[in-house]
Amino acid sequence: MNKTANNPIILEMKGIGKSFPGVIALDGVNLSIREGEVHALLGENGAGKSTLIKILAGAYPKDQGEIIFQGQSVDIKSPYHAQQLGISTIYQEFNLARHLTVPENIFLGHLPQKGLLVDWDTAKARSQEILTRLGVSLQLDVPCDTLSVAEQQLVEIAKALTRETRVLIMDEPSAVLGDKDMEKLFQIVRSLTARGISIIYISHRLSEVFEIADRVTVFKDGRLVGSKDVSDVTMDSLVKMMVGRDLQDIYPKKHAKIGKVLLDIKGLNRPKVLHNISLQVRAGEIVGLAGMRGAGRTELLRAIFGADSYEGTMTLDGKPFNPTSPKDAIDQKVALVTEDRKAEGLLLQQSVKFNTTISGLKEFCTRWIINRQKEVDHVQQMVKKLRIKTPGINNLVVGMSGGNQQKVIIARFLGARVLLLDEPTRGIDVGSKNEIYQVMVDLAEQGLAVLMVSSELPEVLGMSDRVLVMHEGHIAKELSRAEASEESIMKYATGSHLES
Amino acid sequence: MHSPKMFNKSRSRFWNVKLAVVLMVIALLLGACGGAATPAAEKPAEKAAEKPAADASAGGKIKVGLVTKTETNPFFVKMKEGATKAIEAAGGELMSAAGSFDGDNESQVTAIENMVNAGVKGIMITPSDTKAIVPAIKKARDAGVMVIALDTPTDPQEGTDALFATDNFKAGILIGQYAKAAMGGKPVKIATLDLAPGITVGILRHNGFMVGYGLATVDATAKDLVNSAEVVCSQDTQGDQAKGQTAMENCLTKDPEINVVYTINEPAAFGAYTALKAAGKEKDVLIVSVDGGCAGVQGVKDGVIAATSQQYPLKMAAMGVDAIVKFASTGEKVSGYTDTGVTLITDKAQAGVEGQDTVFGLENCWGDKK
Amino acid sequence: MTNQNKQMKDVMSQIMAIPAIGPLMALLLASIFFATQTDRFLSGSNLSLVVQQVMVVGTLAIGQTLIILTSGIDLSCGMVMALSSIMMTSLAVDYGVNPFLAIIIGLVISALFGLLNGALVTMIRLPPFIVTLGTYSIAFAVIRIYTTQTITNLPDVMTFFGKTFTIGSTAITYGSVLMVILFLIAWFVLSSTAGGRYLYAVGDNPEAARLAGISTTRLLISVYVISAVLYGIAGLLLTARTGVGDPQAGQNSNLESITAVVLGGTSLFGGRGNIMGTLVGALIVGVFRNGLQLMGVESIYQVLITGILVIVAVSIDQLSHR
Repeated sequence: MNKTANNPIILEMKGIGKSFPGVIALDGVNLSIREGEVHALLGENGAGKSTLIKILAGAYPKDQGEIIFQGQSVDIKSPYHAQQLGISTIYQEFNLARHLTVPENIFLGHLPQKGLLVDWDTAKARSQEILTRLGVSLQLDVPCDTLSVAEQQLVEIAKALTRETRVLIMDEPSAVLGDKDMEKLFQIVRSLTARGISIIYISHRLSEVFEIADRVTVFKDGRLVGSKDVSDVTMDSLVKMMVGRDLQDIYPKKHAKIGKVLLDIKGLNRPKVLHNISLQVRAGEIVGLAGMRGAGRTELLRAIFGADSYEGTMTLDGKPFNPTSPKDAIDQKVALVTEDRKAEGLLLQQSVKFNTTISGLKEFCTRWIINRQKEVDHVQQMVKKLRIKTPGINNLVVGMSGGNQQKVIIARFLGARVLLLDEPTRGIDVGSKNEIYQVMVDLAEQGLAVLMVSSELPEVLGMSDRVLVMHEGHIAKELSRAEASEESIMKYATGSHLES
Repeated sequence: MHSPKMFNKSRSRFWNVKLAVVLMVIALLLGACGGAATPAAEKPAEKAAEKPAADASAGGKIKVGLVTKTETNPFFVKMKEGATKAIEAAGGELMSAAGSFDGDNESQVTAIENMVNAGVKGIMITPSDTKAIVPAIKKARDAGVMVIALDTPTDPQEGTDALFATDNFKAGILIGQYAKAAMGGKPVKIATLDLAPGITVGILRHNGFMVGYGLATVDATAKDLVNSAEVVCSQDTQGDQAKGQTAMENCLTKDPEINVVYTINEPAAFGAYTALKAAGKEKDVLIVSVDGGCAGVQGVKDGVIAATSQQYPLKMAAMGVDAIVKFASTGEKVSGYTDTGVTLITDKAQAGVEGQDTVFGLENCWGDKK
Repeated sequence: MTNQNKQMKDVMSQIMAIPAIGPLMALLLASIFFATQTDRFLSGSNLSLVVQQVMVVGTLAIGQTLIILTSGIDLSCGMVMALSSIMMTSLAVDYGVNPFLAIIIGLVISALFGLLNGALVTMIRLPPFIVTLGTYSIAFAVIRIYTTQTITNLPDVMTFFGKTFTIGSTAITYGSVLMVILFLIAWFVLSSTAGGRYLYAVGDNPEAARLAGISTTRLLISVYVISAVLYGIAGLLLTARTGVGDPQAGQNSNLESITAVVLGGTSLFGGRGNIMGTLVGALIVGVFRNGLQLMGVESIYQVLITGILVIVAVSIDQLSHR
């Protein structure tokens, strides 16, 4: 039974519609939020969740429909107006002034004043009070960019609490957090709802919904598929609502024929980050690299890729492999798909074609001149093979969905022999995830070696032939597919094996 | 004074054309970004084209070009005013252009080329770079255009048909002689605030001053600044007030006993005065200058500058226009150098040095009168 | 009816997809406007003159475009040009060096300045604005220390690009032809070679480009050196156009070349733009200067209009990428 079922409705949206040139982003959406509930919004990228919360946050005007907030019909004119009403939003990209201190950020725009001067003592005291209420402690006098991502998120939440917030919208708050921090986040969310604040919680991780939400609403293609009490749904039924497909199909893992050792690493070190790492990846094998954020997984991939300096010896297919730059690694057919697609992967102002061939341009060149026909043929083949959705190969990648962007980057490196994947499905909807998994399986079958960093345990378990667990720069444990489970991975990832 | 009515009429037509051009530009670009705005873009063009007297179609009018060093210096503003008045009186049309900084040769070359293409009869120019401009002037003259240098000769002077200018060497001599008389044989320490390296006007005035004071014996053909032991400090100011002040400050640091300051022009003189005043020395130091702009003459009247050599840009331009109008009607070219005159302006006349007081100076000055 | 509309839209979107279409239409409309205002504008010799007048700044702007595409900026370009011009002419006239050799030495000196710029930008990771502001002053001072005299009586080789040949009755300057050829080469390199792609990639996102396997340091240094050689060539064109070696030249050329780049639709943030747009941008400035002069409009209005054009051009760029 849902404990918030009888709470009054604080926010109601009726027949909300919004279209952009060429796209209907929202079509006749009816949604109601109860006081003190956690209401999860689910849906693939482009399903309409972001548009809806931007309308609520005052970032976009709505085209049609009515919003009733605390019994009054309101027309939210601007982000400022939304905050005045009591609707606060925490976006995935934080809105912090990076060089200002914690109290300055918490009270940004309405610092308490004594006459003409800022009353720093009050600002600090009230910041401390709010943070204490959230059950956390932060160093106040440091610039915000020295805080961890989780701490910055706390500052954002504290910011919302300085105003009379009734509805707090959180856009994928867990996407940037490790597991420990997530537990803390859930505690804070619960304490907020206990005080009658309603939370609209957007996520891609289904498991979170069951942990934290009271109700869940699923969007698809700009329409609302349904709103349900969490107690009435299962993982399977939610996935079906989202993609019309069953859960067991998400991980299409097949066991490819495992061949010879392709990548062999012995005693790889990077001061303070990586300690004596040795590992092997064989042809046809997908090796999962699990661990907490900051355990050194990304750093390991970057070192193998030649993006950062390292000490140690590596061989590739039996030959010495010591890349000093990404170019070196790519020339020897070792590729890295980075975690942050926008900052480290895509060339956002360029086309699908440009992004697909940039790393392997030489193969389309005679001397330095690009053979256009050859390039176009290749890219069209890739678009077809990976089912990249784009109006044309000359369209820019900037407007594409996360899943399609990720496919473009994977297409860039399809010629590789060793594929290093860092959180390959982060921020990608379930449908596209499945397609990317399918590509990984196909590649493994063709004899590629895949080393995959992932923070999503179901993904690690669902896709890996073997799992390596990292803890504080060491490889803490190697688990076979049979040995690997959420519990066994967490045991080594958290370092609890060292304590016992 | 010409009648206000006439003035308004010519002024408003002038503005119509210009407004049309500005509107056109905006409309053009709006038109370029979206098809919808295109009809609007055509309107001002039609309007301007309908105007029967649109300047461009003035076939019979004599066109005269004026190319100055910059747009901003009041000396050139006055020069343009003189040219505009003279050409309006003759029923012709003035085309003007300027470089974007003092020393900008390429813009002057471009302006000459465009003016020749526009069909001017003659071009008056104050060359920014006396040597570099010569080939472009030659092309214009080969195309049958008469070219007159105003204020500054080209190098060589034969590069233009004629030169109408102040005798800058003489302007320097006048203030040199004045300074010598005013100091009356006292021991002297001189600072010279010059123009910029290699610019003829600066060299002529400086050397003239030195000769006038009796400290050197060169003539107007010398290519370098001459100095003597009495000159304790020489700095370039680009004729700029702020730079003049900095230069004077530095000179005072070098030698606090400076008692005569030669300045290339009056802005530099004002800068020097500010620096001297800050050091509490403004009463003890004699400043002399060249130009005779209204602000400068006022400075003489106020006792900031002891004396200045006044020159006559308005007259230069008016004489130039007359010569070109005459050339257009008779085909007769002017040649050689015409001195447009220079007068020493001071309120503390010294025996043996000829000059006029500031009443005369203010009547004949250029720039805005107070 | 709706079908027709759709066709219209398709045609429109195809037209809008032509690179540098905006600047090109502005240039065309401006030309039409001036043609209606003065019958002298459309003559072959006048149009040829406009091209000749932009050949120096146009050549500079090729180099400037390359650097801006890497999300850099080069304030030193005009001074490097002037230095190269002075060195070439001075060596040939004052020291009797073979003029061809003198030209090559001038270009090498330019290239060294480019190498300095590129090395500071990549090795010490200084912002290009600061680096080139510094080298602007350094080159300016080097020129003044070396000479303050205008250098005349140049050998014929050095004024060759200022000479003309005639097609029909129109005289065309060799330098104009050289500029157009340089633009075509730059266009080909940018659009059809791996190096060109890499340049766009680095301008778009240097870290992503590095992780995609591009040697960003080598690329950036090459771009600064190549651009500087282009400034050297601009110095040769300037020498040929004015017939002298001029130590005062180039003081405003950095802003003029940036104006041409911006009018041509290249983004100052890098990674987006078309080199042919820069040619059009340079021509727009030239056409307005020439057309307004022919109409008898004072030169200060040319400055005003250039200012308006720049702001409008950048606004269009901003709005079209919202």
